Amino acid sequence: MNDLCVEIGFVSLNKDGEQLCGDRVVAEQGEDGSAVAVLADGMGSGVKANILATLTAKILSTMLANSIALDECIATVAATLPICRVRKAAYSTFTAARISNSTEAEIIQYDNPDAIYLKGGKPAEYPKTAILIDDKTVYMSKLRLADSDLLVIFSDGAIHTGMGGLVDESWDRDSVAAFIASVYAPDMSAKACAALLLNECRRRYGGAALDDTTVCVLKVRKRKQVNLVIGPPANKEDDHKLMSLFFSKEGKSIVCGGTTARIAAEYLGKELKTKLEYADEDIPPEFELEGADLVTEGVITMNRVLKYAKEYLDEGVFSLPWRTAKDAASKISRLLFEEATDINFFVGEAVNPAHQNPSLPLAFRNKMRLIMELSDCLKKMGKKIKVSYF
Amino acid sequence: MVAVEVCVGNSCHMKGSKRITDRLRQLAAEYGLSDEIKINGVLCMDECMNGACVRLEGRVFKLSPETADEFFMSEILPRAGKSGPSGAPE
Repeated sequence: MNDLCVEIGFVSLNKDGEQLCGDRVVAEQGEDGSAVAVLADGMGSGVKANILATLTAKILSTMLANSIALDECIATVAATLPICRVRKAAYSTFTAARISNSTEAEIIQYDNPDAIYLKGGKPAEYPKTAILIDDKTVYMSKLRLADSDLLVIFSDGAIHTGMGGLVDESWDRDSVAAFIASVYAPDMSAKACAALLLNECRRRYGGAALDDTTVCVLKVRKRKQVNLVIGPPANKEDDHKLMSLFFSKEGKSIVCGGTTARIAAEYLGKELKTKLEYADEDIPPEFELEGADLVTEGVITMNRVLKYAKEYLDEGVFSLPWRTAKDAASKISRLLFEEATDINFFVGEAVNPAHQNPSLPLAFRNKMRLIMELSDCLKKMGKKIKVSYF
Repeated sequence: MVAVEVCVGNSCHMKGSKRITDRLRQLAAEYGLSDEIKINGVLCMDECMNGACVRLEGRVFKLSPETADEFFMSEILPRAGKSGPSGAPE
């Protein structure tokens, strides 16, 4: 075992006018540092392509995750796909990546643009071997990944961009590789990287994509723990216990809630300073407390974080305003979605009488549900979550 | 020096503490008293049930963005050494 893990993030842009995407990504991650991601691009567009791609991605990812031999996987896909009445063929291109122990990667490619491998932020070559399975030429690669390495897989929509029906020939796989290298930052999440590339493709399409476009990024990174405390404990006597457990944890500390911040300040014996600067109208300003990495208001801020988390998981959303914004909710989002792989929530169960006002939104009145919803979202992002109640 | 403390707790936030802060700062600037009137954020005063809290010389006032002007005229301005709107700019 090592202290590395694999993070997977993907986004899609539908062909202009289509309700469904003809590309499909299925990603699965195991506790042991194994990961499988399959990006399939179904023939045509719309519902037919969507069915082909979904079947292909789902079958391949399940079989690969169970270590079934590649030729058997491909034979199963070929035998399963429905045959198109117009084209008399069943067809979906795919790129599959299987990673074990967070470092040993296999890439299997069939008719998609070649996957891009970035080592230390720079595009790097990797060996490819052609194998013939059922008259199909499939390319196999094996490589060893290290911390901060990226594998970027994408459908051909990403390199066939252009406006007014014309494809821009100057934008090709090498340009995509150069673009990723130019935006690469070691601490950027896989999803953020995929979103940046897809945004660039959308820009090059002038907003109206000529083809379904999908980007999936696999990133190797070190595990990192972040701790968040929200709410005072149900019993006042537990204040000290909660804070001593919270501050003894390794990793960054986020304190949410005015009263919680006051308890944290008492525990640390430091002064809690308030700022009255609003980076965002709707998000209360943050506090300063020596010994804590981020101190914010509680439930309004966390509701915004939950909204960002839901958007982040939506594969059709690729504007990520929280990556650059300066308000407290964006800062929490960066820590939880990008920086952390393991998150410990310390939830105090005291009820704030001011929040029980029926005129306030329901989410406001139910802190527990807010945290449960948020941790569900974070689990879907591949984070390890632990929630303790006090 | 007049020190005005505006609660930035979430309950007061929902009741408009940002708009109150903005308005008070704007009025202070209009009267040329930005250096004289210090407006700071403070933690919850445990009076959440009754509206956005603003503390002045130890006394807690319940404000809304609509009553910020009135509060400025009747409570802050006299303490800042000017009486009433006579000190108003043109």
